[in-house]
Amino acid sequence: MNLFRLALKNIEDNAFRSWIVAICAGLVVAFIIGATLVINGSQESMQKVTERLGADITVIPSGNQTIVEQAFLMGVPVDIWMDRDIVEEIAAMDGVAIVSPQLFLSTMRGASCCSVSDMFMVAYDPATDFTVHPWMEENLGRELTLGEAIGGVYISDSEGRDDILVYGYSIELLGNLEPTGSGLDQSLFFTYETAMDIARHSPMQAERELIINPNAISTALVRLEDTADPFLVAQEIEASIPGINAITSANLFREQRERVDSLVNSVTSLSIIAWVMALVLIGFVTSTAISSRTQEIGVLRVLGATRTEVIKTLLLESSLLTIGGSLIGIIFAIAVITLFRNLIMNILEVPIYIPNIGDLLLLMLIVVSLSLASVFLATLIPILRISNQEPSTSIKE
Amino acid sequence: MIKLNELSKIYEQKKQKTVKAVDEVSLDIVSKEFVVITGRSGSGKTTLLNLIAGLAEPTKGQVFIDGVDLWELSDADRSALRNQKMGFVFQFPSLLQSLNTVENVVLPTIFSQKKTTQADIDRAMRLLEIVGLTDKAAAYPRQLSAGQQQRVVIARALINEPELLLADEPTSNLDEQTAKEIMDIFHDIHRNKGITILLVTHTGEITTSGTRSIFMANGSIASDVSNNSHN
Repeated sequence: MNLFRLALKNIEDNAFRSWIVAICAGLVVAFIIGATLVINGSQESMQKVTERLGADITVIPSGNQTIVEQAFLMGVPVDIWMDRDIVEEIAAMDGVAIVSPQLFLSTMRGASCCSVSDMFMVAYDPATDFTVHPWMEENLGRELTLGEAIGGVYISDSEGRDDILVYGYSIELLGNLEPTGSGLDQSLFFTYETAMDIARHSPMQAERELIINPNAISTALVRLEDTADPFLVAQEIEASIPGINAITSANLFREQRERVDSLVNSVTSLSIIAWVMALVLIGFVTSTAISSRTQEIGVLRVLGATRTEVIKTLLLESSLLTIGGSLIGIIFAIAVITLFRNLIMNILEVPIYIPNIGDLLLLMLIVVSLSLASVFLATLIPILRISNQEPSTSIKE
Repeated sequence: MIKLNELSKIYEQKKQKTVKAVDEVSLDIVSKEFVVITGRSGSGKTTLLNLIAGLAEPTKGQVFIDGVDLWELSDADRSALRNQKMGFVFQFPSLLQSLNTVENVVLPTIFSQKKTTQADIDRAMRLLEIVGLTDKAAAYPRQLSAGQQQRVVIARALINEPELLLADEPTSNLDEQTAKEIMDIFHDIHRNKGITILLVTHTGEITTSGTRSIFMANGSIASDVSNNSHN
């Protein structure tokens, strides 16, 4: 027998109080963890896509911002084209450091060759690329050559093969990029040269021919000089070249960011309401439970428990209940996010990046600590009140 | 062993009224005495017991236990002294409902040594044997009769081998036969272990069953008589 075991026994014996405290803590923790994972995951995804693209300005055919964003974020297939000549025009503008064209190829729905049935395929120009180039420099030490590709985290070789078939064309997968939690995770990157080779062979090798206009691109990614103002350059690009949109990185996913921001506001308000309600309920239940145990606490004092030991025992009970409830809340939140991630993503139209285990543990630690601090706050007043009472008064009640 | 020096306890009530529960009581109790304190309801006998145990702070005066002024000690030291030197038996059922018999008996040991040892459990079992409850070691308070619970409380009071046993109306909730059995246990403990006992009661027959009888009235000691036949 020790104070810890005494606390456990008291928890067991005060089932009503125990359940209320544990459920309140669990629900608040589940709500906060769930909401944080969704909100942070969404923001993180958009941030990672923006960083992966590496562009200060993304130029696309006019009126296609939403579908391009959906392609980047959700991997929704997209077929957009514009004239390749704009690359030179933009590159010649003041403040522009480099322009890199990319070509989005028709995704193959139900591609049986790959672990991901709907692939988002991107052909890039190795001479100007800054999207996948940093990864290759760090991991391969060279550029991709004909017939080679790198994929998002969900792209893998089909079972029993060490290549990926695209339009019947065998592509060797050299590696996978870090996860972004977005449509880029199911993207396959290869060079323009490989794209043209796939197109050349597709009439003989594929059920459907891949047609690529050699003078067409889907997007031009623009990187600016350090001193350039992205908004001014974007304005200049739109003014100089008709039929295109120049989207600064700050404005990329603006609609989605606004949706998430509005979610943040709602969730923050709800969290505060839930937290205050839980505090009041836990405080009330603990106060009632402690009042009904006044004589028992008096007996502990008579038997030699110091005031500190009484406080310690009662706080230990609250802490154990909070930690237990919080752990159940965390498991519940993670289970809901895991099971309903796709549904939530479709409702929000924003992907959710699942953080790595270290970040997840840190989040849990912070939320459980806040939850513990809150329960301490709610229970400390009744606990101090009872522990400061003279033992002779306590045992009379 | 116990020295009370002009001890008073005044309770403040509503409308600035005050009640003198104990009024300037001075008393010496030596080791191995069996003192029975009697008096009518409200005469101050329970308050006096609480003051001696350090459970209530005196308004005036001092309580010395083995020469140590209780209220000169910190809360921690006073609690430790209570834990080590005193055992308590209350009028009300004071067992923790969440603990079984043996856990209740060893409960005071967690405050003195942080953790119960096997030696404590062995000692608890021996005490349960003395009070005739070895077979109820695993039972919970709700499974015990009032008399059995009071025996467990006595065993708990003795677990730290105290020098002083304080009992407040220990037989008031019991039937005549059980009350007699409980009193027999007190007498056995006094005889065999040489513990000083202070027992508060309003039961007439018990009044003279100790080595000394103190009668209280209006917060003061009205009479203090030695019962030589018990010495």
